[in-house]
Amino acid sequence: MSIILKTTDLTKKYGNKVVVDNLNISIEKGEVFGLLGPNGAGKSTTMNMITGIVKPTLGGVEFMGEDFMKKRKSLMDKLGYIPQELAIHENLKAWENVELFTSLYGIKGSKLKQRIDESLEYVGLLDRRNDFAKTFSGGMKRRLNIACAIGHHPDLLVFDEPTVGIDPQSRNFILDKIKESNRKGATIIYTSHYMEEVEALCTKIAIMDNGKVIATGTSEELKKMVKDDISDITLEEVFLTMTGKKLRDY
Amino acid sequence: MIRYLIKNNIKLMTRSITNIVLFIVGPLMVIAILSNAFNDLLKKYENEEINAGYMIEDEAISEELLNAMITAASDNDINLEKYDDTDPEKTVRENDLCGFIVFSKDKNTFYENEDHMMSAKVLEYYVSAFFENVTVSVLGLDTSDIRIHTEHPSFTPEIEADDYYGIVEIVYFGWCAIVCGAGLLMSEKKHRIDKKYTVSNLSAIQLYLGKFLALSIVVGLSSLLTAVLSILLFGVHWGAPILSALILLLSASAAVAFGLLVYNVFDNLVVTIIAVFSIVWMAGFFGGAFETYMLSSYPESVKRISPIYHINRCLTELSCMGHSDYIDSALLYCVLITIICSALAVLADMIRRNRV
Repeated sequence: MSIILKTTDLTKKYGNKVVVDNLNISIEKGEVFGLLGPNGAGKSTTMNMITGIVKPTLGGVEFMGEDFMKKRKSLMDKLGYIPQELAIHENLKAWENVELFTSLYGIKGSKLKQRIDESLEYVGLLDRRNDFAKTFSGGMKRRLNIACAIGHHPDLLVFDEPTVGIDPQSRNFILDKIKESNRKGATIIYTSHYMEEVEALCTKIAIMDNGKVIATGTSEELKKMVKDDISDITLEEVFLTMTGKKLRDY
Repeated sequence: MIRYLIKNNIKLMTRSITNIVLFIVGPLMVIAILSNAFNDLLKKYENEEINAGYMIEDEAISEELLNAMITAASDNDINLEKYDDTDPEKTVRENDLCGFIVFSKDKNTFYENEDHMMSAKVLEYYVSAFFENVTVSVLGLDTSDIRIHTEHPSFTPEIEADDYYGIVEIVYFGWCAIVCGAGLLMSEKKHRIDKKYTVSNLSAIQLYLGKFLALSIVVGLSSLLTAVLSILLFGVHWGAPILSALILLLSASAAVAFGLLVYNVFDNLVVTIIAVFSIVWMAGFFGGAFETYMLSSYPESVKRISPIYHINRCLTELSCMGHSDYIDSALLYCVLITIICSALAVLADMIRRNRV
């Protein structure tokens, strides 16, 4: 498989504080890549640099074989970002939200209308297309958040904790949809604090701590790093063994 | 590409209906209060004949200049009569003059009659405006060839309080345009929509235009709607309707550009509203939004710094005289503010997003 995204010595400093330290990761096309780490490990900053929201202090990001910083504008429509925050306007209807965010990638006219319905149907909100987002439950807002990021058919989908604060049914629905997107060819980068989600979803996992990747591999490979017999160890135990049990109050 | 952004931004603003209603009702309420309060004052000023005296010490003013001033005063229905070696205060009392000017070598002393305060203020304004024009005319010219620019003869227009405050309050509220965008800006901030915009094909200029054009359309149309309501409710006369509408729209776009610049600098809606209100209040204060610009005693040079002064003066003169020397400066101010503030707002946004 070809590499879709690669970071080289990616570093972010805020003053003297190094938040991400010489990060080198490669994500292959069609992969579901999970990024785990305690609070303050540098996951969000990494995501923000990968998506171009934050400029790296040092190092670079190569996306689809191109320098992301230099070819940013032409590469953006190949990237879909689902932020942790519900990045939707509550005073807009569901279809208006999808229209607004899908149109940012140059899609217009009848194609835009078709993509709006397609995206809403994908997240199970087509029958609520004319309802204001403010009338939606938390789970529905999360689904709308996803619909707003997939209308332009991106090759790489970046999910930043997309299942925070929602009921099990909505979470299950979202995870199924992520799997479906991956089956259809999209590469996924996924961060979450829910280990069972990451284990069920991700084909490759990187564990970050103090701005560095401390381990990378499949779920089984990570477990083997901690214990030979992987049948009686969970990913959460692996995570705690590697990052420690000390509280991270940031 | 930004068509849909503009469309949805307009929807977001118009759905925060409270702001729009306040924006339309606010000026109408102020018009009602101020025009009622100042009605008698402006009427008094309209009807009074202006008679004043002057005295020259030590050849303080040349004969050409004096003649030019008397002619220009006469064109403006101000009678200036010369008195020699007199006590100004006594002369004012005995001859029932509204004021008296003593021209000295390095200063002019102005005496005002409290019984004719309105006329005295007009006279003071006239003398101040005259000397400013003289200063401009003298620069680079031979003093023997002084040509006095007196603008239009009716430099202090006779205007009804309803018309004056009907016009200036709509202009003033238009400059608080950022309030109309509060719904949109708050929603963007609360939901971190800026992150989504960053991860898109939108350039900083397109992102700015998406807000600027949407806000300009809403504020411009709200101002025009308020102007129509001012005609229907208070009978306000707007001169040269198409030109006045154009100036109102350009004023709205300048106000929006200014508001967005402040917002992009501070990145905080509350701070932005406080800063914009403070600056606009100052500009309105000197620009005739509260005390009429004709009667305020601030130097003309100070008033001219305020864009609101140029817009107010242009629109009120169009209303009562049908023409104005301030059309060009009002248009120029609006266009320049729009361009400069827009450029700075985009730059501020790029710096904040770490794009430069």
